[in-house]
Amino acid sequence: MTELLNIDLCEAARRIRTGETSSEALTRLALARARAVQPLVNCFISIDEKQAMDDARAADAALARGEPLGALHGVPLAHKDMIYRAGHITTGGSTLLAQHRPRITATVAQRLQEAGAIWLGGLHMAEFAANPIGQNASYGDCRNAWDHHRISGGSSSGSAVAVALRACYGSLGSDTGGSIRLPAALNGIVGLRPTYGRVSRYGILPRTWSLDTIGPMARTARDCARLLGVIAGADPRDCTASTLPVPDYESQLTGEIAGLRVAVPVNYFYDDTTPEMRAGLAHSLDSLIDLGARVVEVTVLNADLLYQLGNLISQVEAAAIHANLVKEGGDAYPLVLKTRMQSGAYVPAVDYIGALSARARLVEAFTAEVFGCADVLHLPVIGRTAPSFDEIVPSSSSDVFPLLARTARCTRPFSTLGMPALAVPAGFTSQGLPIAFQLVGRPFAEGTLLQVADAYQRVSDWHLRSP
Amino acid sequence: MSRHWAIALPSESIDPTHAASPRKGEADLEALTATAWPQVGRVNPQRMVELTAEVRTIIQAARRAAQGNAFDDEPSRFAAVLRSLAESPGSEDR
Repeated sequence: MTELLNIDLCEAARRIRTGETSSEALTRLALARARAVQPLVNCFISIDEKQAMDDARAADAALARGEPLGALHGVPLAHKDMIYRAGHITTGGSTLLAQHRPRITATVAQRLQEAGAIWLGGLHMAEFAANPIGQNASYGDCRNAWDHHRISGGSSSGSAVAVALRACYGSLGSDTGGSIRLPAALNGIVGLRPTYGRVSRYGILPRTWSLDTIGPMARTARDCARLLGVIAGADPRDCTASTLPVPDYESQLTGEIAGLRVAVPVNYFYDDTTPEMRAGLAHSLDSLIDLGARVVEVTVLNADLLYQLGNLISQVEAAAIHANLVKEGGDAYPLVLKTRMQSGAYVPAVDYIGALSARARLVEAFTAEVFGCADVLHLPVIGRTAPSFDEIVPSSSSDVFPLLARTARCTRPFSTLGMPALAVPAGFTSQGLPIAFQLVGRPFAEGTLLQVADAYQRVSDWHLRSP
Repeated sequence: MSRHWAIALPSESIDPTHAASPRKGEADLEALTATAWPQVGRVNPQRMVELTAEVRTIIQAARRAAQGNAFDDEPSRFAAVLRSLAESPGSEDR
């Protein structure tokens, strides 16, 4: 693998802009890398070589003509295969949508294009973004970047694995209950779930309406800041997209976090955490303390309830969204998904509305409790490393759901609250598997999360290691 | 895949084994739901009874936790609250 694939997204953009390299050169390298790793890890669903090379040459020509350049000009990216582009097949990870050609283009896709990014192809994902483990019966499982016998995590499986393996410089994923943070953590990259409403979902295959978010996945916090700055902001086509101004996230990455208050939970979140993961998280906290942060212990109220509420909302909305697909798909619709979503069809409407109604006061209470005494919350993304494929074969259905619940127990509560959350690489186990910590902030405080993660990455080198 | 999957309760962890006949309303609900979810005949109706009970427990707990919320918050207030929390003192991104 060449040195050019090891540089990060922002450095790639800088080198293209200054003429040190070209978009064509980087795109050619990324495509070659994608072809090389695909048989090993199955991280792509589609690779569009001709379009990518044509676009890269056009980007170089625009540079030569002195045209204004976007923040991602010429940089090869690839994205979870659920982001619509008019006329391009978008599978949602399912063969049921293998010929699905949307007639609209997602707002985030439009913004990436306007920023000059190159689109290499569609990345693997759990079918319909509905599985935090990442299994996919339609296209086969995506494999962990660090150990091909282990799961990638999901549902943004391919995004995490392709970025970790240097087959693209960054990616967009989606996060309903942890689908950006979990694969990011299990594959050793940075993944940001933005505040609900920070990024438009127009033109995104929905999993749920009330919890879905679109966010960046890349090797560094700065790369995620660059991507978020491009995709965030109001959108008249998505009434849930906030009109709050988009800050200059990169300008907040000063490396300074002295005096910042970091909350550490004393309940729930470490209950199912291995000693090795605890040690990794403690080490990352020590680094933040060395940088001048102050640690305060907090009790996080209602964590399990928040998990269950989010699960309930997700099941109901998925049942509604997928009703036709289930009917038309018949046996081709994955039975395990059908079973999970079906339960949502039995939830009384009064209770579904009750769950939605409770969220406003729950997020107010949570913010007052935690962010009254801290700026960020530091906790695990997941309590263990990626299990092997053998470990997740269920012997009965009663094995499956607890496994799913354990996987997302530290991520889903913040999805329910709509809060921003960031997964950050924080080391490796004795088996060479990634460890990560999660940062959660008050609504729309993505800049603070990225600031802390960037400061940490300046004094650590976990994100520089490649599989 | 031919495995008979049990339906997932909200907690994704409960394994009910009670036996009882569904009442008429529940049977109606089952028939109604079957129009959208054709495999409904493979599901033990009793699990639906338990599902409903557990959902109710979750919602009641949420109501208590949400500072006395008696479902008087329109769901769309959630987005407004997120925004107000961003604009309150202490926010870094105003």
